[in-house]
Amino acid sequence: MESSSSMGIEQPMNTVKKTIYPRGIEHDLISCHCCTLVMRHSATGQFSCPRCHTALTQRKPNSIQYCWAYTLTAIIMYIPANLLPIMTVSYLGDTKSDTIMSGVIYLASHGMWPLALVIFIASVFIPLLKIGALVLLMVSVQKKSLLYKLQRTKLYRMTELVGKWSMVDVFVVALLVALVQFGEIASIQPGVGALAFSVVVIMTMLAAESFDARLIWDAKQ
Amino acid sequence: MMQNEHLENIPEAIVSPDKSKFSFVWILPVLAGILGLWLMMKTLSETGPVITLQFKTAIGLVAGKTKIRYRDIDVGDVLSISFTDDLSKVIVKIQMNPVVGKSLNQQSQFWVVRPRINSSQVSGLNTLISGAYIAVDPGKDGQTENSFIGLEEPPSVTSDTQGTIFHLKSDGLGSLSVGSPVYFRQIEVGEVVSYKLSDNYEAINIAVIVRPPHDQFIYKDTRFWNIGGFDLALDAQGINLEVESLTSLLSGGISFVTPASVSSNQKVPEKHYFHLYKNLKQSQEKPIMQHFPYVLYFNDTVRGLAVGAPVELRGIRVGTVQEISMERDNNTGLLRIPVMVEIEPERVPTAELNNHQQRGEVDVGLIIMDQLVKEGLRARLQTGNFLTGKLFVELDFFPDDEKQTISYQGQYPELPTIPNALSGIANNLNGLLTKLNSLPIEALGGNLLKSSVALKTLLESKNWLNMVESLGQITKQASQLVATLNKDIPPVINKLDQGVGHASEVFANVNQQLPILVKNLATTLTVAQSTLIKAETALISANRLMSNEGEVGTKLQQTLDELSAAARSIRVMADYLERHPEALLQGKER
Repeated sequence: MESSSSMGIEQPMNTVKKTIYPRGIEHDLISCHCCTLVMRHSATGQFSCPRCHTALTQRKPNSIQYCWAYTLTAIIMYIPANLLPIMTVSYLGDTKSDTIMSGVIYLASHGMWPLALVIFIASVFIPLLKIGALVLLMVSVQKKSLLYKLQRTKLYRMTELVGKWSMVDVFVVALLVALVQFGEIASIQPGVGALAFSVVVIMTMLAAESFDARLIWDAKQ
Repeated sequence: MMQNEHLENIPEAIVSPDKSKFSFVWILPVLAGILGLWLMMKTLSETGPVITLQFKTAIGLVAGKTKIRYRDIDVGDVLSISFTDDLSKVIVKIQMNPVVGKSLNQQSQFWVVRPRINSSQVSGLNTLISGAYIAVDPGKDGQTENSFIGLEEPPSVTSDTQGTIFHLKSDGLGSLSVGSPVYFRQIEVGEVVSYKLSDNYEAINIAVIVRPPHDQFIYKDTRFWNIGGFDLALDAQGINLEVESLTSLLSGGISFVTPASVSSNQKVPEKHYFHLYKNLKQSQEKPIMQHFPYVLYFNDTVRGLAVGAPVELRGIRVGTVQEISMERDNNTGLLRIPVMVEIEPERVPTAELNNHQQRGEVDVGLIIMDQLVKEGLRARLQTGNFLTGKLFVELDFFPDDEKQTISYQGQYPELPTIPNALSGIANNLNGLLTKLNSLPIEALGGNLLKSSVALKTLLESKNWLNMVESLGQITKQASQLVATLNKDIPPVINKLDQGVGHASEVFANVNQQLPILVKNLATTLTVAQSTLIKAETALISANRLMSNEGEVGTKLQQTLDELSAAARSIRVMADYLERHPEALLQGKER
């Protein structure tokens, strides 16, 4: 066991800590999520804690599979989310449908750069970033890459963190639809794009949730 | 190594059977894929053809904002607005909705709906707020087309307009315009769709649409007439003002009715042109087919006689004045006025005429006229209306007039005329005034004066005084008589008293009543006396009145003065009337 792990220097760039610590999985050890009992288990698959009978897994089951499914859904939905109108504004009988990008362009062309930037980052950039990050993480895990394990872990943490903020757009639409209902004078209706966009956000959040960051460290040479 | 020691006591985990590795989570991307595909298909299917429209201006049209609407549903968007190559028109590029887009064809009409206010209607007010939009009428069928020329005005007939289009022919447009209402018994049932000059520029063809179910009331014999504005007729019939409705006053209009007398309700043939009558009255007149022209020669003024004035026989219209001119009589060298009239025998359908007509004898009217003239038929000018001074030609029988016949020497047969009734009056009046003028009014006044002097002398004469004296004597005698009676009655009473001792009761009664009687008698006499005194006073007053300084004398003088003033006025009026006889009717010209 020692020999196998001695070969895998985790962070070649990190010159401070070169010590190789033992990992539970390498010693067929696992701790219960509930009562933290450390137990011995070598096989994969379903098992449970002998003390508290909590169902346990060494790693999140089918993590990569789930993550891919969610990410793919997100990628597919990202297309209509950007192409279809996110909301329809009727103002004095004049109806105007806006997609995310047309809204950003509208704001930018009217000099509201900060707002345009916020919407662009929250609605276009961050979902894309999340999807890209997830794809990168999954590919790297599946290829059992040994490179940049710490950076990838940080990337994952960031992806998880940023996830909740990408709902900003959906919240804006929800608020406007609820507030601006003045009949003939002005009203706002949500578009199909808003639905697709919220699906994208939820899917990326689920994908990030289902990804098991420990898989990054499981890669052995 | 302590850690390792502890690790020796680690329990084993409970292993449960493994589960399938396949996860249902893959349903999600599949669903997303299906959804994405569906959205794509939907978007693709919602994209119709791109068409181009040409307008003169792009007032109110905004690229990306203006909508295309059909039955108030958005069916397209304006993509861009640009110019034609020669900058003469505006090209509007439109992304159509596929449903309407695919049914566009050559008959499709496009027009811009914007606020419009004209005399007959106000439309498109909702676009004041929302902005203009382009309305489309896809039309029924035709070749597919994707380049159109937009209409500048909303069409009055669209493909879904129900109703029948009828064609009218009119001499002039009047106050009609596209959109003018068509009324049937004052209910609006349609409108004017279009109008244009006929091919030979002689009339105007007007197309009207009549909506169901009213279009079924239109038959071949239906009469259409113009109700535009108001109809003020000032003719021999008097003043006639007709106004249909306020709307039609402003924007004109057409009304129609099918005469009840028409028995055969024939359907309107294809391409049938109805005649649009100028007014209701014209539409009600029977079409006159037969005209017999006659010429009438008048020597006096025809002022007030107009072309179109009626020719009446005892108040029934039998013809129309057609032409009035002036010419010099070749024989006498005098000016005379030939008035062309047309006798229209159909106006007075008589059994005789009908019989003749059915036998095909067209000139029967002429024969009848000849006969009538022999019986004394004459034409003369007559005032139809004293207020307006309009004249008409009156035909009437004057058996006393010298015998005349219709002269067929000129271009037209000549009907004998007699002088105007009015000018007859004027002549008579003139004569009357002349006579009045020649009256010896001054002598008359002198006579009157003499009479009053004689009266005065009479009153002042001895005889009169004698008469008054005699009256006094009579009174005196009467009072003597009464006195005598007064004296005589007591003896009578005494005698009665003595003689009729038995009838003392009766006598007593008499005795009772007598004093009253006597008293009454005394009263009567007093009254008679005062009456006589009054008579004396009256006579004195009469004497004073009759004198020259008295009231009667003065009044008489005044009366005579006024009479002479009146005579002077009459002379002036007679002079004026001689010069202006028409002033009798029209008053003095100012």
